[in-house]
Amino acid sequence: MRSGLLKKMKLVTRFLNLKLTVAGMLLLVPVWASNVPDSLSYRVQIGARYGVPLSPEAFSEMIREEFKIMEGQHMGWYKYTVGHASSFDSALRLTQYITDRYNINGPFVAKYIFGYRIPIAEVFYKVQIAASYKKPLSIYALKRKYDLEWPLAEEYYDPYYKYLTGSFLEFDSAVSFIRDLKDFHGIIGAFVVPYYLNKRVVEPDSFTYFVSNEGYLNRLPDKPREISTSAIEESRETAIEEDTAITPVETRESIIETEEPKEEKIREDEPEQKSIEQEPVKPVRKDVVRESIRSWVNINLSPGVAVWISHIIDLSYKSLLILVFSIVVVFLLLNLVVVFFFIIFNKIRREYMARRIKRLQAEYQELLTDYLFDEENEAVVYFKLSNVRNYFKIQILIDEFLRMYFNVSGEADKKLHDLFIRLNLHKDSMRRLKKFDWTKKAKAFREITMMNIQEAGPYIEQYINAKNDTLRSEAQIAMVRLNEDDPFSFLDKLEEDFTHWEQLNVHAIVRAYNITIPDFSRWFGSENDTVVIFAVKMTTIYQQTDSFMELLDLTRHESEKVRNEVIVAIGKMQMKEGIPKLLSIYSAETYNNKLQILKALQSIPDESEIGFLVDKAKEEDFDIQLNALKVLNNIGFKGQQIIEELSKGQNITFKEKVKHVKDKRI
Amino acid sequence: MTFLETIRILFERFILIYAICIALFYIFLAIVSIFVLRSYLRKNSFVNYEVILSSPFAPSISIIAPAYNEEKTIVENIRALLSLFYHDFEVIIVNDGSADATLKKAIEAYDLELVDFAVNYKIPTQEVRGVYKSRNSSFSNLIVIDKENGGKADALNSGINVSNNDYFVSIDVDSIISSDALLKLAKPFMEEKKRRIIATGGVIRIANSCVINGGQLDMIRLPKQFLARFQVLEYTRAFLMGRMAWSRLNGLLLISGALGLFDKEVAIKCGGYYAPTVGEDMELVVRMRRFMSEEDKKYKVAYVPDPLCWTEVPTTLKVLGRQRNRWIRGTIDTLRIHKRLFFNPKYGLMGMLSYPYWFFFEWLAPLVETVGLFYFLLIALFGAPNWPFFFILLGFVYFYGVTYSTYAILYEELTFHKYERKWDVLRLFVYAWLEPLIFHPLILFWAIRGNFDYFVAGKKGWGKMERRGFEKKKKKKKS
Amino acid sequence: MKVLICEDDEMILKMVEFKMTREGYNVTVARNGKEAAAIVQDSEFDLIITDVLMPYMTGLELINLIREKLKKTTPIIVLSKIGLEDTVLKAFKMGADDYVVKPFSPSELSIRAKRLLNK
Repeated sequence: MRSGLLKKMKLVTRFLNLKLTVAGMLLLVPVWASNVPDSLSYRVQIGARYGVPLSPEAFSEMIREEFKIMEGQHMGWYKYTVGHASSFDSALRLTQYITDRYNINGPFVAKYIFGYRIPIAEVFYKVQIAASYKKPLSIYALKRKYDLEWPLAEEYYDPYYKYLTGSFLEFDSAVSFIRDLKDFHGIIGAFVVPYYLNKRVVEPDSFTYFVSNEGYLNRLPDKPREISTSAIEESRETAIEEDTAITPVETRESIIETEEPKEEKIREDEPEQKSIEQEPVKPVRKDVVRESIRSWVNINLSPGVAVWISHIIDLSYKSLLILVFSIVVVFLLLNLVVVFFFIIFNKIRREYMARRIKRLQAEYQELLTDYLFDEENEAVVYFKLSNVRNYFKIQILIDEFLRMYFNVSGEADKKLHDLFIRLNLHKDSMRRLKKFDWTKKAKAFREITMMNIQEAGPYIEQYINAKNDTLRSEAQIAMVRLNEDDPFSFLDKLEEDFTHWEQLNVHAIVRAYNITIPDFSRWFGSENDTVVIFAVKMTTIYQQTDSFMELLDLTRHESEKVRNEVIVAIGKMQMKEGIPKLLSIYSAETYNNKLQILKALQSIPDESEIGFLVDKAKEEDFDIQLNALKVLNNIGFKGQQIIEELSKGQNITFKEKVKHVKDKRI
Repeated sequence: MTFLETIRILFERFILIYAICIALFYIFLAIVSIFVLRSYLRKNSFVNYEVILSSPFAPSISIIAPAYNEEKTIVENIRALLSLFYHDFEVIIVNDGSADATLKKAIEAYDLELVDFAVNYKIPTQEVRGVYKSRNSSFSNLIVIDKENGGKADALNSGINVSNNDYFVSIDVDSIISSDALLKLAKPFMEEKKRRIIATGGVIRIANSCVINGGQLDMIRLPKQFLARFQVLEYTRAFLMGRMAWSRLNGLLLISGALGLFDKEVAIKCGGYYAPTVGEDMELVVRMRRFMSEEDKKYKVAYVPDPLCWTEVPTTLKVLGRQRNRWIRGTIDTLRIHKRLFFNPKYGLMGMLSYPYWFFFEWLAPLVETVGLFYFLLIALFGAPNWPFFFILLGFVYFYGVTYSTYAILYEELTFHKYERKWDVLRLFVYAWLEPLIFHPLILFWAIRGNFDYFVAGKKGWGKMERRGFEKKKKKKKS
Repeated sequence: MKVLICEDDEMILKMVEFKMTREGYNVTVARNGKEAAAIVQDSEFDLIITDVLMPYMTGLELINLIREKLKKTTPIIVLSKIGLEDTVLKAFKMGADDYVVKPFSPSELSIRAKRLLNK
């Protein structure tokens, strides 16, 4: 068998036109002979200097005679090592020997792999059983063929696909594994491949593999050279001139695998390919990732898909764009999965919560209704409710209280309020007043307002001018309710605009709780126009006719909107005293206000207006005309007479307006 | 490189950049939408809308519903509108010269009689033949206008002329409006301090297969018909992930004709709806915005994400195709009419962002996409395509669409979650995966056709939309 | 004494039902105008308490139905959130006998009911 093997090797090497050095042979031989591979060796470092090599004279003649001193460069240092031990221990012994025998300062063990310096640990071995040029093999097929139960990984070193199995810390274990592979699985020509930090360590140049179909060659930077006395000068010169020494690299990445042979171009030039040539050797980590992904893909996915994905992975490494898109697609898929499960989970949770809340609501509602109308059960209800401790339940209970409280008045009100206090629920509302989250705060404000918890008044008052709209509005409402002496005093302090929404809410509270209304003319002079508008509106709603003088004064207010409100007020309150004023301000007013005046007059028709109205009825503007006619019609018999007169000689549209005005249904 | 090669590469680059831009922009909109939705939900988490109901502080509103050949459903539609919860509103039904018994049915059902209404044609419209009011005082806020046919825009204008209130709501007469819609639409108008809100839009939801009784939504269900299901996803994306963001940026250009609340004064000052266009809803909003910009007044167009309006969407390819055809023609119309806005800083965000967005990503997108597809097809057949690259790109486009739709489902779930049944949601997921393969190509086709019809065939009018009627469908189900 | 309560707010419905039942009345409930209309067609009541804003048929329409179409003289109390003068007047015009605005006092409601029933 051995001769056959050698013959094949010779053929292969001859085919590829390569040198087969003894060192190369040595690597094959260890498969059978269990010798120390040249790959891994322990040496003893006896000296080093940074930047400039040492001359051989630096070392004593004796040591030079006994050992071959090897010079290597490593991270800018020139380091000098001797020995070639197979294990750490023998190297250590050698260190001891050197220390005792020669007067050398601090020799220590260093580890080398194919001439490259590495840290002491982190090497392991795999066994390669096959390789293929350019076309990947099927792992399933391989496993089936050799009946392998161990995981088989495909590793791609462009343009070769290599198949490895096993993972051993000791070289010897790997070797015996190879024997097993041969004996029990019929795999011939498997060999050991050292791995450093999960990366394949590439063999020195003249080495060849026995492969399943074609040969393979890998090129490497040179390994360290021997220093011989004769070659001193030569080496020093060449070391400087040629770039043959080991180039300094980072400690961890001192073993680098080169990329695919640059002479070979496999495919046609695509724009993306160019970037590879220009780029320096890519950082190792990326390749490590790529290899691990590929291995995973090859092991876990079916061959067809795996091939595609491998293609994509390779392309990703070629084109930044594809890489980006691939990452984005993966990211999107992740999103899909996460969102899907989240939605389902969320739905279930919400349903569960809704049911729970509904149940509690019904329970509390019944209890409260019982309490209100069924005197016998009062104590029972009280007892049950006072046992509600959990914050979540308390909130629901409070909400039910509020709902009920909002709908009833009179003594039912009082009963609910007393129960609320007795149960100390107001304490919970007050606790939440201080919360940072404004929605919770605002809710607490609302509860305080509705249940009229006076204690909280001063705290809430600070928020009247809050920047947050909701807090401000809720604070205003609260003030109206809680401040029994002067519910609208906050209007004096209001700096922001009093929006319609806020006004509406405040008014609603007034109505809901029958708050005593002050005389709103107090705010007619406010600097805040929106407050004035509110005051006027409230005056109208509550028919505070006593303020009519002040109202009339407001007709000269600088804001059009305020004046508009005032005009509406005069109409709605049917203030006959306001008629002369309305007539007098008319001409100076804006169009909108003019119309408003006419509309207001419709509620206070009076013969004194006739002259004015006749004038307006002759105007061009449709709406002015129409509204003027409406007022005339409302005045009564006299007004209608005037209309008759005006109609004479007028066109159809005028007559239509008249009809419109007379039609009571509109 | 040859000239052809240069062109080719430039073209490919353009498509790539376009695709990336549109993808990124949609993501941007989706992210902004999150904040808007969250903010809205928090703010309204305990608002009691019933409070406004009986308040004299709430603005008075006129609902204007144009009706054309709606005899099957007009009676129940009017009833639904009259039962909306609001303290002071009038319902104005505009019979736009229907050829059928629409008017007659309304008169019968609501005891209407002709009144001597003098119409002020502030906005010129086709002639009004008569204005009707009910003898029954419980329908005293109903007004029916009978006029010569003039189209939807014309009918709306007529309603505006007759309306007595400061705000009007334009709706589709056969949409179901939720009972608190008016309140929610009015709120932005009442809250705003500095700017003038000129219009508010609401979210349109799909009513197909929902159980409806007397104009009320009894049960909300995912539509059974497959085209309608696709549209559910489409609408959800557009409203929850798109328009919310735009409203926040104050760049909203479109308020659906199915539901929108407008400031009447501004609308009239702009001249009302523009009748000759098919995209009258969008065109009016753009014009109103433009008007305010030109007058140098601060304004805003707001949006309410609550599901306020439920409408029946087309379920046949024919009708859906016509609808989409009309939509794209409307878009083109509006873009053409207001081309002054294009990258014009005078119009602020509308000119610099909204208009260009509509131009590039709403109008051009189907065109670019179709061209891109054809290009790939050509390359695939005749050239030497870079297959892995092509498939990765395709994968990206496909999964982007699916993911976006899935997020739309999420947004809906986290906000209003109207589809309570788990199966409905699961079905939506499936449709999200199907959409890029089935529905999207249809959309592209109709968009191209719309462009063709507009530019080449010069078609600018309305097609015929059939109405099915909610009640009839339900009755069929029972038997 | 048979009483019909027509109200879409579940809480208020339950409350009024509870109260009236305790007072000794025979209470029927309807959750919206349509339901109430159907019930009213078939049965006779001594008193009807109804809300105004309800789905399918407003309270005012219901009153109209009872007075105009069915020609019944059953006493009707309107119980509503809307306190606007307009609505109140409309209700009375249509034939309501009493109008109670929410928030309401259950005892007050009960007394008003008694008053109408005694007539």
